[in-house]
Amino acid sequence: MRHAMYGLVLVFAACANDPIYLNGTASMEAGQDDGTGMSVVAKQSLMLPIKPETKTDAAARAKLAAQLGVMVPYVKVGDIDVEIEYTITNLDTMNPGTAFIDLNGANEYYIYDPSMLNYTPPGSDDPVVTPPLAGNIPIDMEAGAVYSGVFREDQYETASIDLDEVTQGNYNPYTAILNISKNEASFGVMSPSILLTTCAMNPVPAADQATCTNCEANPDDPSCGSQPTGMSIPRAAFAEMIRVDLVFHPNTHMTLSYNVRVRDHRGIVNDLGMEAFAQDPTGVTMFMPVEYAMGATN
Amino acid sequence: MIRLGIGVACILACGVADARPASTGFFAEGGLAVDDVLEGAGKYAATGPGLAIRVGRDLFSWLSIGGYVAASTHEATVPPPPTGQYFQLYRAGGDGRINIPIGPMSIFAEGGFGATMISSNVLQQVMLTKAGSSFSATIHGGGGLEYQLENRHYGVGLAADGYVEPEFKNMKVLEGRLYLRYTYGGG
Repeated sequence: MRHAMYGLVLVFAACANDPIYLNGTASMEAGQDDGTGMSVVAKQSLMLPIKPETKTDAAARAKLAAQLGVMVPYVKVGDIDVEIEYTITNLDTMNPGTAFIDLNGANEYYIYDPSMLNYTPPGSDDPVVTPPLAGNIPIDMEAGAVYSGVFREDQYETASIDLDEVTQGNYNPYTAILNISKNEASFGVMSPSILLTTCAMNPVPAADQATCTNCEANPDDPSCGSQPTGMSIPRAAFAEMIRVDLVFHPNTHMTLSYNVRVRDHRGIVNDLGMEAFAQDPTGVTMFMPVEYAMGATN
Repeated sequence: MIRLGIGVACILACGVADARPASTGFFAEGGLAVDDVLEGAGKYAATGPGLAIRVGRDLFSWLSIGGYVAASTHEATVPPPPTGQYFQLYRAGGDGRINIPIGPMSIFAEGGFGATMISSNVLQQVMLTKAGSSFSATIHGGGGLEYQLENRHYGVGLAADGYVEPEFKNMKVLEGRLYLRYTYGGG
C-alpha cells in the first residue's frame, strides 16, 4: 500500500510540471512600407492568465514581506518558467531580409517599454538607444524562408530580473542587461540619477537648477548619477514578468507567429489558458502595472 | 524410406498437442509498446513509445478480468510554433480478455473502458483538445497472441489494441505491445 502511495505521488509530481501553451492572438505582420518610407513595426502583448491570489498565499506573502523588509510580488521569479517559441516567414519571395524580435514585458509593478526610457543625459548630443530586455539580434532570412526560434526559459528569467533591477533597483538598462543576472541572490537598490530624473524635467525645479547646471557640465560626477542606497532586494522578492511584449521589426515584409509555453510550479496559471480571459474572467488576475518612465521622453 | 515411415507414424500417433500447462489466478503483465495516432489526429502527433502494466485475475482458464495503467509519449507535430514539443497520454481502466489455447500458444481478444489524461494542451491549437480539459473517456479493444513458456507461471505475448478517445475529438490510437506475464496462482 505504501509503495502504491509513493507511485501515485510520483505520477502527480511528474504531471505537476506539465507545460501549458498560450497562443499569440494573431500573427504579427511587419516590414512592409508604411507609405512614408519607413518599415511597419508590429507590437503585441500577451498577459499570462494568472489565477487570483488565494488568502493563504496572500498571508504567506505578507509574512515574507515583513520578514524581508521589502515588497514581495505575488508572481515571483521561479514560480513559473516561460519560453516563447516563434516562427518567422519571409513573405518576400524575391529578396532576402533581416528580422529583429525584441522581448520586453511587465511584472506586476512596472511595464518596461524602451520607447519610454530615455537615458540620454540632458544636453548630450550622443543619444542613448535604450535596449530591449532580450532579443534584437539580426536573423538573416532568405527570400521566402521560414525560421523557427525560441526565447528560452533562462532568457525570460534573466529578462524578468533585469526588469526588476531597472525599475526597482534604478539600474541603467545596459548595466542590468549586460550583466547575466539569472543566478543572482539579490541586487542592491540604487538612488535615481538626478541627471536623468530631476534635470530632465522641463522646466527644472528652481531649487535644483544649480545642481543640474553642475551635472550637465560634469555628467561623470558621481553625485549626479545613481548611488547605492544600502538596501537590497533578495531573490525571494524578485518579480517575474507576467506580460510578454514582443516587437517585430524586419526590413522586408515578414510575419511572426508565436506561442508562449509556461511551466507552472505553484499552480497559479489558469488551466483554461488564454480562453480564461473570456470564459472565466473572475479566475484571472487583472494586473495593473504602471509604465516605467525615465528621462525626457518624446 | 523406413525413417520417413517411422516419422509419419510418430506424427499420426502424437496427434494434436495438449495445451501447455499454465497457471491460473492473479496475474501481472508488464509491456513495452509502440503507439501510433491514426487518421486526422495522426498529422499532429508522431508515433511514440509506451509502457503498460496490467494486473488481474483469471476467472477461468479462458477468461480473465483486469485493470491497466499505461503511458505513451508523442512528439506534437502541430503547425509551428511550437516545434519539438512532446506530450504524454496516461491511461487507466479495466478490461476483460478471452483466450483460446492452441498448444503452447493462445489467441486472445480483449476490450474495456477507462480514462485518458493528456499532459498538456499542445493539441488545443489544432482543436483536438478543449481549453481546460485534459481528460477523456477511453474505449479500447484488440487481440493478440500469447506463448506459454515451459515454466507455467510465465507467458510472453504480442498484442495490438485500438483506443478511442471521444473527448479528444475521437482521437484513435493503435498500440502494438510486447509483454511478459506472470501468474501467481498454481491452479
